[in-house]
Amino acid sequence: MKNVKTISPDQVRELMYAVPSWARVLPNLADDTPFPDSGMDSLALLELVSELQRVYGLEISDDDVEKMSSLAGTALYLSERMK
Amino acid sequence: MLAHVAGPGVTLDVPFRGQRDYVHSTDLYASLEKLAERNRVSKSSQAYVKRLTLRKKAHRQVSAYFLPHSDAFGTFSLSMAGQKVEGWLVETCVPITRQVAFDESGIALKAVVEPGRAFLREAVKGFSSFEQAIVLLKVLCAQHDIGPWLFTNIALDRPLVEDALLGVSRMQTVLDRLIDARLFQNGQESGRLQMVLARTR
Repeated sequence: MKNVKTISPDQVRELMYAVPSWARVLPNLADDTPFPDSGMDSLALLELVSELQRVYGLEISDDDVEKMSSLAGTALYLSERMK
Repeated sequence: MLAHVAGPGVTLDVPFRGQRDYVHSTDLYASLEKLAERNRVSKSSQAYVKRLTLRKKAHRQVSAYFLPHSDAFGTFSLSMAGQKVEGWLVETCVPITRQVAFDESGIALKAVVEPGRAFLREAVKGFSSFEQAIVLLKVLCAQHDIGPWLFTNIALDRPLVEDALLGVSRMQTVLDRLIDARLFQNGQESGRLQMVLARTR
């Protein structure tokens, strides 16, 4: 049987607290708030992807980034990748 | 700690470096190191720049604030006697009139470059450890793309020591436009450095 690992939005949120630029906006960021609405710049996206790659040992492509449009979307994407 | 500078910003008085028309990370880092040093709690306590993150270029004089600032182009952390003090870098309207020479080729020429890493066999005299680390990272990034690359982040686990033997090794490439590297001094892992392709910022 395949080992299925589900990543929750809370787990993503916890990981994002390690990225200073995100840590400041997280208290006001709902799970389904689109990242572009959070006022973060393009570098913040790179910082987030960097942290996700490092923690989960994944390589994330530009196409994949489109699926990571919110906290919930990122959790869903990661859960799919970890299957 | 640093309460006396918590309100108004502290002017860092940075020059332009070489032919650049923007403030170089090496000057910001050096100014923040001096700021940490001036506010050292005691002679024996540690005071150093633990993190420096630049999100945009600054073309005018820079002030450091110790309260969140919405116009910040960068942020930093100082480690003061084991405590972390967060800061924000804000571009002022004061023009920069000072220009200092900077020929980084002296460092690049001495760098030993191997796939995924670059290091120095001896410290390069006349350059700070931060300057050497930045040039090593630039050399490392050039293995991936000719650039131009811009410094965006350093996060240190321990202070940078002058005259240390430095090296950087690529940890990961992010979306083909950010290089995340480990920094070593005297063979000991000491932190992380990041550069982005200039068109990203």
